[in-house]
Amino acid sequence: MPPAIALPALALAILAFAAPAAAGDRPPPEAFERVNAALAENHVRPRYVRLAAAAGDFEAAAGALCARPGAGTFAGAGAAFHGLMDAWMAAEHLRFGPAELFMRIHRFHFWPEARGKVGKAVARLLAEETVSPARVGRGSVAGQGLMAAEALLFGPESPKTRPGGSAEGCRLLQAVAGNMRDMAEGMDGDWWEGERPFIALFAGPGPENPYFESHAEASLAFLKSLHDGLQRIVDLKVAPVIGKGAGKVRAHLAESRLSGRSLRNIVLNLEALQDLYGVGGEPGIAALLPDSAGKLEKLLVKGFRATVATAKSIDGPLEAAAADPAQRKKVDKLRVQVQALRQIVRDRLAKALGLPIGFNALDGD
Amino acid sequence: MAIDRRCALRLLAGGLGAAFWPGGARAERKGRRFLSAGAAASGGYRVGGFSEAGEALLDSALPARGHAFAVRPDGRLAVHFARRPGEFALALDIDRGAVSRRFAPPQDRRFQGHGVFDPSGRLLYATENDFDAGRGAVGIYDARRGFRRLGELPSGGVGPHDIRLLADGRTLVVANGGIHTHPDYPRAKLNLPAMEPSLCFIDRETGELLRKRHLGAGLRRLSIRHLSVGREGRVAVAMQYEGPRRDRVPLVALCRAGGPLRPLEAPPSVLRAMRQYCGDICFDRAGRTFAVSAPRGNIVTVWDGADGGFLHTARLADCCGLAPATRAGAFLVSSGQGGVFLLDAYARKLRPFPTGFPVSRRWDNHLAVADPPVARG
Repeated sequence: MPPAIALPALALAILAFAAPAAAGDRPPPEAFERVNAALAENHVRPRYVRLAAAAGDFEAAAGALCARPGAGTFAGAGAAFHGLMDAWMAAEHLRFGPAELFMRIHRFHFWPEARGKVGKAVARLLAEETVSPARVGRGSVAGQGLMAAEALLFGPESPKTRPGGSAEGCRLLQAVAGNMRDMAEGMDGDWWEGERPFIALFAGPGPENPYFESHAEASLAFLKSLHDGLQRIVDLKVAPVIGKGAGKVRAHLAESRLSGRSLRNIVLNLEALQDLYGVGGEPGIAALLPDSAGKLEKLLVKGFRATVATAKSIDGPLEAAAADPAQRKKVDKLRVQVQALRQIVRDRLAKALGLPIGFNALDGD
Repeated sequence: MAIDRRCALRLLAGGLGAAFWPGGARAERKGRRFLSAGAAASGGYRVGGFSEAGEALLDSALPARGHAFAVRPDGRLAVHFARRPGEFALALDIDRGAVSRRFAPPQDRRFQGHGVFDPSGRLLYATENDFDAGRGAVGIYDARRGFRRLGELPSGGVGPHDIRLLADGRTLVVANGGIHTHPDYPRAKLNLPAMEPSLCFIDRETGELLRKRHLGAGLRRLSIRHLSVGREGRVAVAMQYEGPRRDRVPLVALCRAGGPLRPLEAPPSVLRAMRQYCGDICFDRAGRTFAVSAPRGNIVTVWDGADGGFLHTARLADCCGLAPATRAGAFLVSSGQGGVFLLDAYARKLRPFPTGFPVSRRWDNHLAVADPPVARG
């Protein structure tokens, strides 16, 4: 049973209402196949290529910091971290296929975390005499990925990687970075290379295919990425942090709190989802909509543009903006807009495409 | 056996008139009564009840989405738990068709959605999340003193969900799903890479963990969520897989009294159709046959409780809640898209079951059954 949340009145005001699209004129299989191929090539591929390149840059920057500890190389490692986090936020919504193998999504960015697991895992690794990317990759998930790197560069462990820090700090940073490069190359390569590249399964659905029985089902994976991406923003990144008022902000729940980029993450997530839907540029999911759904198509374009504009108008990070009476209205507006987009995707876009979203990762019980 | 939503609505609409909204107090009633949370057409969350005769008995608004029930053995009262992370439970007076009390877990606990009464009907055991410690608990409440909390037992694992009592009246069986959650991020699963699901047997009088059953290292990401108790102490469990979509893993397992937890086999096409997710499980009246719903796959599977053999499937859109019907091999099945159906697993028939509720009522995950009060001499 899907959740029954009434669309807030404010959302209606912000995203004007259009008549519901007629259900039933589901796109033909060729349309699904064509859009899937375009999305794999133009949406998925560049994101993982960028992720692998950014992970390579980060590994190189960590290596430079170890070779020549100093203010310059420390700043370089921080900048490369932001580049890698940017690349991940642009790919985070793609949670099927190679990204879900070997727990890569969790290992790459273990968030939200509970009970200080990242700090504990990093402290344990720092105490080890030898660390390597392989050692980090086999160890606790909490000691891998962007959260561990952030703790080492911006968090309580950062004195160990700063100029004048200890050798084990940068050695662990290098190992964490190397493991991330392995994972990023895997997420990219497994789509296109090897004996059984994922693209062959994605483009060749059928009864024996372990992932997709039809082209429509493969399109549904993208539609779920769109829906679940919006839901993650509201349920994990915004609502827990901003609370019910400027005095009820829970800053410690913000994503990327140590590196001060919670709002930047949200902007990048939203831009990626906007691209997936197909606002401008390459064709996206919107290309599947029948001509009769023109109003819905326009509503979503307008909604995405308005929501991205709201996010960009806020002076981040989110936890600071939410506590700032001068910015609070914009923060509340952002939450309502993302929530409204999600509801339109779930209730109307899915219906217009004949692709029921049904359950998602946060919905079962 | 196939029934889609459109067909179901037509059948239901044909068999029933307009919505029936229950009135006030009712006299002694006969027959069994069924309970389920749900959502009304307006979108509000509600808890509803209906009789075996197809009459609505109870329909109350909920403060938030509901989940499952603990029915007092006399069948006159049930406790309805909020969906996890649950901040409330409601005592329902089934005879009067009304909510008689609301209570809450302590500040540092949340209800996990399920509970069970002891045979006397005095003590209520509720699965709870000790979220700061990342541990599961079973809270104990005194039904005769306004559901005052008496204490708790360890659940034996992380993320307890369903809980039942064995026929000995003393051994609690808890499905520890293995997934750690925290009210800070209410629905997020925080420890998927480190899951350790288990089925735990606990002595409710001493709190002793009598037996703890796992499925083995290769099946760690298989969350043990729901269970049902059949004849001779058999416990059947229904699971949800948190691993990659391509994997084909068993989703149902059976534990005979004192024995290991044994994953059950099903044809690959059935496993695939279940979409790695079971919603509910329930033995029939005779405790011999059990049904498992797979709402993401829109199928109900039926199994032999004696040898664990797979029997067959029935198709029903968004099928989830299950309760034993009167006859052996028969089950009531509710749909998240609306409608309750009677599945006769022996005759292999599925037909609409009147409830007195409008067809627009979307039923939530679980159906509970309350047996009529036993006449007293």
